[in-house]
Amino acid sequence: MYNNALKRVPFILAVALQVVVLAMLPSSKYKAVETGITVFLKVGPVDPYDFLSGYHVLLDYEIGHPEGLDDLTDLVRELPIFVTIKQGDDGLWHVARVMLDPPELLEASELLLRGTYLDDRVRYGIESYFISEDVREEVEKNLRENPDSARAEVKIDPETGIAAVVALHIAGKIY
Amino acid sequence: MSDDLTKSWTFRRHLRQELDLWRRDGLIDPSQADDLTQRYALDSLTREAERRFTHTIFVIGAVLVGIGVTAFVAANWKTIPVSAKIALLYGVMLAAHGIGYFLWKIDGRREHLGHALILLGTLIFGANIGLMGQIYHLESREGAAFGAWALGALAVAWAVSSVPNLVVAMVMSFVWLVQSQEAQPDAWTLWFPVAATAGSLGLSYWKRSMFGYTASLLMIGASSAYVAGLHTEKGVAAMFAGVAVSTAAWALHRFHRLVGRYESVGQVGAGLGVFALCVFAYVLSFHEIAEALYDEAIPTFAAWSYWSVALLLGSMGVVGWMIGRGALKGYDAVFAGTVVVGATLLLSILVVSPDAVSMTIMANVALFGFGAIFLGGGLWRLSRSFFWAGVLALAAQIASRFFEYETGLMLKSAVFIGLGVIVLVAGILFEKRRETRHV
Repeated sequence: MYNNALKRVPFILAVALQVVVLAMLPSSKYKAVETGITVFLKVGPVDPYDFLSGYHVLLDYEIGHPEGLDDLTDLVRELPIFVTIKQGDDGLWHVARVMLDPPELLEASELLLRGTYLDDRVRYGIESYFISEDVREEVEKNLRENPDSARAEVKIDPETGIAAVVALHIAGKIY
Repeated sequence: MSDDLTKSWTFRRHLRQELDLWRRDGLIDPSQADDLTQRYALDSLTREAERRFTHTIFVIGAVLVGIGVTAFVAANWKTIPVSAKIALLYGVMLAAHGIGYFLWKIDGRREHLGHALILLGTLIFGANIGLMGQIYHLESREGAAFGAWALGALAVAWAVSSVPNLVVAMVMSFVWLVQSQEAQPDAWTLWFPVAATAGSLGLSYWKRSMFGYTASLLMIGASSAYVAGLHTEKGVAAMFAGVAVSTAAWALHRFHRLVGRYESVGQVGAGLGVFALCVFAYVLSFHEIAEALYDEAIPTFAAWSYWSVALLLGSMGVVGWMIGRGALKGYDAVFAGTVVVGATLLLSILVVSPDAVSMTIMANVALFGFGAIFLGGGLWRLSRSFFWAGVLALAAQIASRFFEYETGLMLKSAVFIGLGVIVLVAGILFEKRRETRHV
């Protein structure tokens, strides 16, 4: 009896590993999604397809090209970048400051975002947005016809600066 | 009975056919036939064949269902709430694993169906990684999803000794290796072929699986060549690694033959190793390629080359050991000598890079040696596979050399006809010889 139970341990551990791997994948996003502050960011699409996970749009954010990025020295691939954003008169959030180290103090109106320098822009881990197959053509058409109206609804964990995209708004429709 | 023979299904199938003939012709009496039937468990062959067929069908079924689940995930269903989606993806995966384990390892009556369900569980695990990516809009940067899939598949493969799960792990880890190296290569990639050898070849030995062993060698060869090319940005380094792994695949099988263990497991792998050496010799036998390689001198031997050099030293050790024990005789000695000399010539071309003309000559000598040794083996042992491999190698060499330097259509036509006639006549003479020897 004891031996039989012992024989099952490797398989139980292997399956447990698969469960843990699945749970770990979105772990950094949980807190942002559940308790984060909602902001709206201006976006434009880049690329519409991903092999493993079906259709998605790669979103190119306005805050991905912050003013002052070129002034930073020693920019290398995968370098962490810290950006603060503020809400503008248009209701959208725009870059206030860009720096290589996290700021010691934030203004009351500022939110911190943690990004990475990659391919001449800052990426925040919110660039992929998956769209269901039945509305894929509609999203593509709407994005093509209303290139300036696309907004991403993003939640940001104010403590860590980690962001998670939760919805895409195009011409009054939510996807 | 040796362990290897127990596992050699092909050998036992042939033996059973022969045994009927021997009994009919009065070469052996019924009691001897019964002894042999018992010794090689020939009575269970039909049952084993049915089980193999069933196993294959179940694996194909599991793969098809896995692809279906992946496509379902890709449809990105929006109507189900997130919590229900997560419950569903965990539930389906755990159910496939749980029921599969029960049927295979606990109940034991539906072993193959249980194994197929565990494979399905691993395929669903991969689909679930994609689904998690969809739910939380995660980026699949640098192939991390494939790396995670490979890790989960490898753990299950080792936990239940499953070769199909191992193959999933091998394929996904290779995709991860390639996708993760977008810019400058990471140092860890140098260890990938070593880890692949330990993870995949080790389990194949344990399971005595020829399929797993052969697939492992292919992955080790592909990853070794990829990593060498990645770290040096030179095709010549990738070729060096390829020649090293090919030689080691052959030497490993010779080692198994000598010690009388795992011989049948490595048979196909050894054949692939020698075939790969022939392909390398053929590619290098073109003058234009030699000129290009002459310009692209092999990079300094550094971390990228340690694994390949270790394999080559190991191969040399095996050959030296065989010579020391006097284990190489007759055709075996000639074959081993040709492989060693051929591989050495190819490595010399890649490492020393003499002038282009010398490189071309050396590669052609190696290719001719491989072709001749196969042809000789075919004639000596009256083996069809060796004979036709030799004819193909030599005909390809002659035709390639001719067309490399001669472009006249009439002459090309004559050479094609001449080579075709020679191949046909050689084949007819070979078959006649087999008939006269009653092979």
